[in-house]
Amino acid sequence: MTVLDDTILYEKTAMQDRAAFETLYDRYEKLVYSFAFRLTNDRTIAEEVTQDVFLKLWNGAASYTDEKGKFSSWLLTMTRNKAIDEIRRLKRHDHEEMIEKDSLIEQPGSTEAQVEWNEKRSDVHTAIRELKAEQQEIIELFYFKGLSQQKIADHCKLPLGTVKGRIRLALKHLKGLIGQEGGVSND
Amino acid sequence: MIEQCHQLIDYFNRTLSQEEQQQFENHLTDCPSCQEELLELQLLTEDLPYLSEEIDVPSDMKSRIFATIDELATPVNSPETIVPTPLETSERPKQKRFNFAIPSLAAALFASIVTNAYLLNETNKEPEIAMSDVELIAQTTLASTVDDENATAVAMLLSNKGEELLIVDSTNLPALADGELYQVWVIEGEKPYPAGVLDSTKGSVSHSLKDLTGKWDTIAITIEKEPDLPAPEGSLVLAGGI
Repeated sequence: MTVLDDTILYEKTAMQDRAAFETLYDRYEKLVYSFAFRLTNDRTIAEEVTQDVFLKLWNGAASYTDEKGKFSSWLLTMTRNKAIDEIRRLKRHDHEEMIEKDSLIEQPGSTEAQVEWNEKRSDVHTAIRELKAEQQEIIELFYFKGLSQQKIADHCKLPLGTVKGRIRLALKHLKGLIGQEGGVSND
Repeated sequence: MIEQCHQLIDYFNRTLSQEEQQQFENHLTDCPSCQEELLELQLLTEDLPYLSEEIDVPSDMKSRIFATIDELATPVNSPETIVPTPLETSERPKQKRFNFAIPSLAAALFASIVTNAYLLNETNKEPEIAMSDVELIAQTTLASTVDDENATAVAMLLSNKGEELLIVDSTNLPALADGELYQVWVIEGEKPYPAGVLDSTKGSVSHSLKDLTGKWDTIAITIEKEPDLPAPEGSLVLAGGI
């Protein structure tokens, strides 16, 4: 897959190997930044989140081991955690709605990581479109908006006790569709 | 305990209060079902970030981020005009050499105090003496008590012309709910004394201890609803020996 395994690069980074850190940075900068933007809809916050994630990586404030799953998943979880914390912090300061200011979508990149990302996006996109609208919505509210269980219940007009089950069902369904190449109809 | 299982989604989405989060984490260690569900959520969502469209990264973001990283990773140097006399490295309360990386704000506060002390003493033509007015009595790093690997703070106890000053500079403290504040305490044995409230935007405080005497052995930060209570009532966030 990749020339130098993420885990090896991470371990070198933990030993303050600048070159290894920079390789990881270059490999994930765009994904972390784009994901942070997807979550926050704000370039400035997306950059703050990206900085925070890589700073933690470099200074060892967050530590990764193989037991935590894939390195990329761990890095993206840190990104999401920081991003949803930031959204919540800003909402408390009356930034209720953040609006996408301009069209920022770039031409697909050509590095190995980006090619992989494009392929994956296409698979997940195809799969998510196969889901019913309610299932797409609950994934959006839960994962990308990071709403509380109560807010999801209010928004979707669901009894509070059923929210967790609905989320799991939607996610499982999606995972199943991603697993089937190209996705299939769920009729 | 079972009633806590329903908080899994809110735990995953970080909407629990600090206290609830800690309680849930305690619950999690004893609840295989929640552990399993949490792992499942992590696995089921791991493809979702890839749905993000590629966004054009600002061309100078990398240089900004690396500059910040370098700034925070490099030990802060005192202004050149201030030449500290060689400091002893023996145990406190004597002066300590400070070759640690001070977070920027604490460093700025410290530099400003030292500079002020220097300016006040500039006329006596013995700049080295300027440092003797400001002594770093002790410094410590406060560690999270709630297993949040990111929250931390540096506390410095300074003496400025015999007046003790506590500077605390925190990073990555969890967001507070409305009406909450971060209270700093100095603790002597079992007895806590309030020692300032962190500025909610900067996460730092500089607090004079002139009205307090004691042999502080611990510095702690708690979440409170009111400032300067006689004793902590809220939950402990950070603590460290000094």
